[in-house]
Amino acid sequence: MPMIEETLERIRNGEITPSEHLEEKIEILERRDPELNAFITKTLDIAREQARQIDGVVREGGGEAFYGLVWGIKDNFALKGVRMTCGSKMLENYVPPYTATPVEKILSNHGIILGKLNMDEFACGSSGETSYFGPTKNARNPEYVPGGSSSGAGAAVAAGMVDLALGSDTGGSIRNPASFNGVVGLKPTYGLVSRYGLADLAMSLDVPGPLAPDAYGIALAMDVLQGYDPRDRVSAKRKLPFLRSVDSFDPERVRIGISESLLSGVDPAVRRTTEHVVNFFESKGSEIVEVDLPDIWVAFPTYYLVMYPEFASAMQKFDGIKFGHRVDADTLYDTVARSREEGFGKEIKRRIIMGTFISMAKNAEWYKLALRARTTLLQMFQNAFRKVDIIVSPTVPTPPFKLGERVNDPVKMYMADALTVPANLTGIPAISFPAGWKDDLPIGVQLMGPRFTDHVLVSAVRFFEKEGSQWSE
Amino acid sequence: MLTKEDLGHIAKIARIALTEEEMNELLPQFNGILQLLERVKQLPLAEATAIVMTENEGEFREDVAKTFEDYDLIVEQFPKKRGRYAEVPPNL
Repeated sequence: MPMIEETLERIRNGEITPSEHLEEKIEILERRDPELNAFITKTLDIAREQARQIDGVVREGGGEAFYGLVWGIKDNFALKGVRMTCGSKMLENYVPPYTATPVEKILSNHGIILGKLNMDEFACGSSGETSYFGPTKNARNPEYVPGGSSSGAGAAVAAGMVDLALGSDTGGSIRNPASFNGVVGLKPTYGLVSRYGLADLAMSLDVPGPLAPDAYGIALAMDVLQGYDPRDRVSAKRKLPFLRSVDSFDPERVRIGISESLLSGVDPAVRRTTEHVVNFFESKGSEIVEVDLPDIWVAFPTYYLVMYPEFASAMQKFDGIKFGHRVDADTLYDTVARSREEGFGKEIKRRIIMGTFISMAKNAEWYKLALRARTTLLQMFQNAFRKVDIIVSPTVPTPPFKLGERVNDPVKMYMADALTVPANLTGIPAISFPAGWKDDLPIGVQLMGPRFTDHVLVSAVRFFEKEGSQWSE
Repeated sequence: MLTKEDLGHIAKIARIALTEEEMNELLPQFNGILQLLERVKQLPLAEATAIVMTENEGEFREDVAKTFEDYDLIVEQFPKKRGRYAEVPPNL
């Protein structure tokens, strides 16, 4: 997995052309993907044509910002004319008539798109096992899950099939596969990246973001991806200095928060890895502060109370009439119900039915309760961030687990999200980076910060990459 | 606790046809999830329910219709069509 700066340098100084670089990636793709199943749709012809054009641009001294770096796109982002499945039978043959804003930005900044990446169906999953197109495998050990829902993104970056990947994060879907595959993944502040062209899971939680082999790749990607988009009215009218500040982390001016509530019950190796990161920052002069997050566990059930109804609402458009899978029946009701029965997988049905249940008038109290719990969490984090600049926690409570191990136990599967959902409920940025290993499987650690401090988190990871070392057991 | 009857009713509203086998599998899972969700009630919570996640609160685009240039690409996606119209089965 070559580091992004080195690859960029090789292209910029003419050691290799974007076309040659692309062929290197295609060679890895052809070798690894039959086993890993990270791609749903490969766009080799489009990529080669793009690379030929970027060869000329780079030769003439242009090519910013990506100079022909190779991207994979999670298959819930639209790219005009290329099939977009969301990992579902429902959209097996859907071809979008427009392109998502983050994808448009990648293209206009000379990024090459090698294909659409596998994912849990409609981004509903923590393990990468619920795709209609088959499970993705962990790039470090194919007997293990790659994490989800951006499963293909995590595996493709870790295997070196792509330089960078675009994922989406509603409850941990970027950070979880980043952690399980040993790469870096940023869930940006809610609104920092436009959601236009992203198939929604839960509108108040969804945010697109990058996965990369290193923090530099995240900074490079975010400089392009961020920014206001009139087509997404919640997008923020501000830009953060990602690349400009990537090497400016000063540990002596940063207060690092740690909370026993975020460590209790996690796997011992995951705990030791997290403590290793805290010790590292302390050894470099950061002040370590114990923060009080006593009721953080409430985030986990609250997430499901918020997400289920938003998801059920988002799924209403899939009716077999305008697009997607259709089963013909005598009446409109039966056509819709049977199309959905056949087109959706188990987890999707589970979530739609739970969401419908919570949305029923007689259950309105549930949703109100969730909003009150969400406010409580927001206040809890606001209080914590008065005392610290960054909170450190594990990304996932356990190292990667074996394929099939949790697939029939939804509550146990949902537990993988316990430490990632607080950032989505509160809209704050969170980054996962590889900080340790157990039995040759990676362990990610998460840094969370106040809203719009995404660049500080990226620079902290960069500092750890340069000055620190990974825990191993 | 949800009963099988409740589940059938909710699935009908959700427009998802469920087989008997799916009902039997989903029912205990739903009740497990509901037990988990019940935990939220154990906490003293803030009274406020307003969550503002954007700095552009209350901003709306101008209400002006725009022509989508690739209309044919939308029509191509209709699973069943007559000419340029999506075919919809009878409502009853």
